[in-house]
Amino acid sequence: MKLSVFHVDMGGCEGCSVALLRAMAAMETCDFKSRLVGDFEIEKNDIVMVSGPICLNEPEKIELLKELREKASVLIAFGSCASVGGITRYCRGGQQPKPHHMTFQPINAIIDVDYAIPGCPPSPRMINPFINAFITGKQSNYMQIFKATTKVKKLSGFDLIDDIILQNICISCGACILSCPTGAMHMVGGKPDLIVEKCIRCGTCYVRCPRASQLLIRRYLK
Amino acid sequence: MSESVAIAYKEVFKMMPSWYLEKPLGEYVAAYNVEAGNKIQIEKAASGGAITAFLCYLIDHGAIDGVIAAKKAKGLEGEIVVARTKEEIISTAGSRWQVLPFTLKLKETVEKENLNKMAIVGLPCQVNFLRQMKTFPLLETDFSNRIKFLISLFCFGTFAQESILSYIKEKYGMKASEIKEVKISQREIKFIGEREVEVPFDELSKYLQVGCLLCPDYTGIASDISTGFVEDKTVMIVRNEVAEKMLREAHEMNYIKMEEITQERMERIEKRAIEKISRASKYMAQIL
Amino acid sequence: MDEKNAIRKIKNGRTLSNEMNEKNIARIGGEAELVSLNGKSFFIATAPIRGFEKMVEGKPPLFVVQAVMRICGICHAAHAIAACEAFEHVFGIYPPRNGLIAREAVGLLNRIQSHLLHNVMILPDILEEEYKREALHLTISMLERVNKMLTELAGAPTHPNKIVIGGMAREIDEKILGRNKEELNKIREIYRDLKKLEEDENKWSKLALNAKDIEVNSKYLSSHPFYGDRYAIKLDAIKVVSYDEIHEEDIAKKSSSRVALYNGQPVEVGPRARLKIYKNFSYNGIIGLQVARLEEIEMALDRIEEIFDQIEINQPFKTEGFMMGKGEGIGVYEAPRGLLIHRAKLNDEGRIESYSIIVPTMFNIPIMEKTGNEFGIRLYDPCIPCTTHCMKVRK
Repeated sequence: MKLSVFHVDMGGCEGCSVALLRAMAAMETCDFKSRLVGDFEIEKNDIVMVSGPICLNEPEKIELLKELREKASVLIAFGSCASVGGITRYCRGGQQPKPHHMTFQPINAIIDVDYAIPGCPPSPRMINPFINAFITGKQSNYMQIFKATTKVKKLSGFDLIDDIILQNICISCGACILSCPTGAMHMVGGKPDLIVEKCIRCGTCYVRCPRASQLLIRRYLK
Repeated sequence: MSESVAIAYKEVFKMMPSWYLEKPLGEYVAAYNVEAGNKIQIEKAASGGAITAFLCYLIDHGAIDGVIAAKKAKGLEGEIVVARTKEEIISTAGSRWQVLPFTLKLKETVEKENLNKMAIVGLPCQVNFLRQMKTFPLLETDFSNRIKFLISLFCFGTFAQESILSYIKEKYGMKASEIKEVKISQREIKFIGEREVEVPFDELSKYLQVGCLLCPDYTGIASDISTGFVEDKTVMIVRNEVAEKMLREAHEMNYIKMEEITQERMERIEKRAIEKISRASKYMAQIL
Repeated sequence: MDEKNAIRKIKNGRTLSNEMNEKNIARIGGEAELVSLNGKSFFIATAPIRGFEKMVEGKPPLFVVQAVMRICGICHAAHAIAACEAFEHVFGIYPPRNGLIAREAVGLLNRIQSHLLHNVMILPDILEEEYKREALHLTISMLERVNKMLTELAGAPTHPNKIVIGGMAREIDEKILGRNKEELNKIREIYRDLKKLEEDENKWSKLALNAKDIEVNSKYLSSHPFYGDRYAIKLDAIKVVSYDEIHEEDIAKKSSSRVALYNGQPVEVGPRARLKIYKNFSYNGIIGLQVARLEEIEMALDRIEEIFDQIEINQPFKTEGFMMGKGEGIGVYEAPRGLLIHRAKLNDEGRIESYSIIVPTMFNIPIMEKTGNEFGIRLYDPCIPCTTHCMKVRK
């Protein structure tokens, strides 16, 4: 029995769509449908993956998101824009021809999300393990991180600095340095420092930090 | 774990996931006392001889093509190095008493040297992160598919280096420059130079990094093999069949000498693990 | 309205119905609708506008480079390169030769990547059923190898972070060069097979064959065959207008994209434009766009190989030590879909005062909608995430 997976992009850069396409091309266990390859009908689906942020000024899109939630058994926010806002946290609106497109939020602003996977974009290599973990129920300690991420509205290097480094609970393991897609995290004096101009608020460093991910689970689950 | 202990710690464990209560040491297949065999001459009989010997076995037999471990740089500072030969591995022997950060330089070195089957020796927090990177590689540039073995060291916490060195200097009169080596075991820390200074672990506990107080993982439950020093013997906790097979082969080829571990020793390790979990629980409640 | 009827309609220039027909266009990068009204076709972009031009105001250049590449997950490197070119123009610096050609190679890898992704989306239309699976398999395996090369040379296969102001932040040494030369050869082999499949007209679908007879005529615009040249085009001749300025119907107000004109006229940009201008390309019909795309992949592979031979080991890849201050600059780059222009104005503190981006699809909109059907539009490879970023109208 194949899992039916339906992907919709709400208005992101399509980078996450490409990542899903690359992963699904290799996956035998899933029946993959996506608007990118021409599937528009929203039927009842096992898994719905949503990428891209929700523009709160577009009622049509909000309705679409709600419909997707109704028809999905499990809904996954895929990519930083859908999970925690990502680069769209910097959007201001004011641009022609639709200057009223001002507010972009992660999709948990409108609907309940079951899992949120940050990454700009998440690597295709994690999709197969994710689906397997989801089916078998294994890897629960890491899957819990993705569950906890559904409850936050923002996650970034700034949050890592505020919650971990400034609170003096950083242990200098270096996980964040190896988790930044733009190279915004670097070591200064044995502790991570943020090059603020390079942080695109993808949240990957936070979910990979041993302390921060522990905090996420403790704060938002149970 | 005994019933009474479990009940005693149940309250404290509230802040931790429930499976910690059932398995404070994580999942494992077997546990052994291990020492270096005759095959490898390691001059330092220091802690780490067994694991160094095992790594030498792995590299000699092509199971891995490199090891990422810590090596002493200047004084007591360490640095992460990529060791590709037996000699290089032996030069990294010695216990780690600090968390040395993995940085971008490491990633670039691994990619440039084109290492494809590596073993990484780290502390539980790092191994936890690497296991996550391996299971769910979020970045395209995650090199965790090149990692074959994750080895963690038992860790009750690492120290804020400057604070502890200045304490040792003040109280015991041993300057940082005099210290050649630091040897950590469950009960005490030995600073070895011209003379040896033994300090009970608890005396130094106020110099532990605050972040370490939140960590519930004593042995490194995400590793393939967890190893540590318990009463002058190296213990290895083996967590999967592949690692077990490798260890047995290394034993047969005389790189290491394995023997079954006593129940008493296992309980001692478990007790320490529970102490760490309850400590973490306590501090987590304060942070939240 | 099905596609066969649409083609007949254009050929004979007759209108079939007075109804309005809205249809979501499948298998393009992003969200858009094709609306037919009174025999006329409208390309209506429906994606929300994230507004990168407004987003980067007040921000420093380092942020801008990281941000603008996230406009599009398919032509990411193109935006990064155009932004870096604009900033280098402002600061009056040039990358060292190694950096410039490495950047060109990375951009070309992105071009191949983009053309291959487009191939995945258009394959169902252009090949006979029995060849589709193999073509898809070849495309994906080639794509994965290109991604691997991009990861090594530019930091990531999507949103490469090694493209920086001043050159490239990745030093390419012998080992990396050796590995990538090998990889390039492997890619060529796969491409040879893909080419045999896709260039063989006997394997084409009816739709593709019919498209040989469909012409949408216009002038062509391009600045360079492989990279970009801000002096090769007349920047003052480019004007951006809102979509409802070229169409009077009300439906035009729905579009979230704008249109770019050259000398007041629509011009075609993209692979065919580049080949027509620089290589005397002549292939009839709009299917020529697909043929041009395939040929560009081969040209890109050749050029990358040339670049690999020209890289000097142990020479720098990046200019350093420059000051970021006030000024204006323009970066012109040939993105996979055509001409891309980034224009930056910086204030005293070296932060963005104004930023504008003209993307290739903005030029192609008035042209591709003339085809009147999805397949025609697909051939032009529109990219909606890019298009929903328009600049302020300049006088």
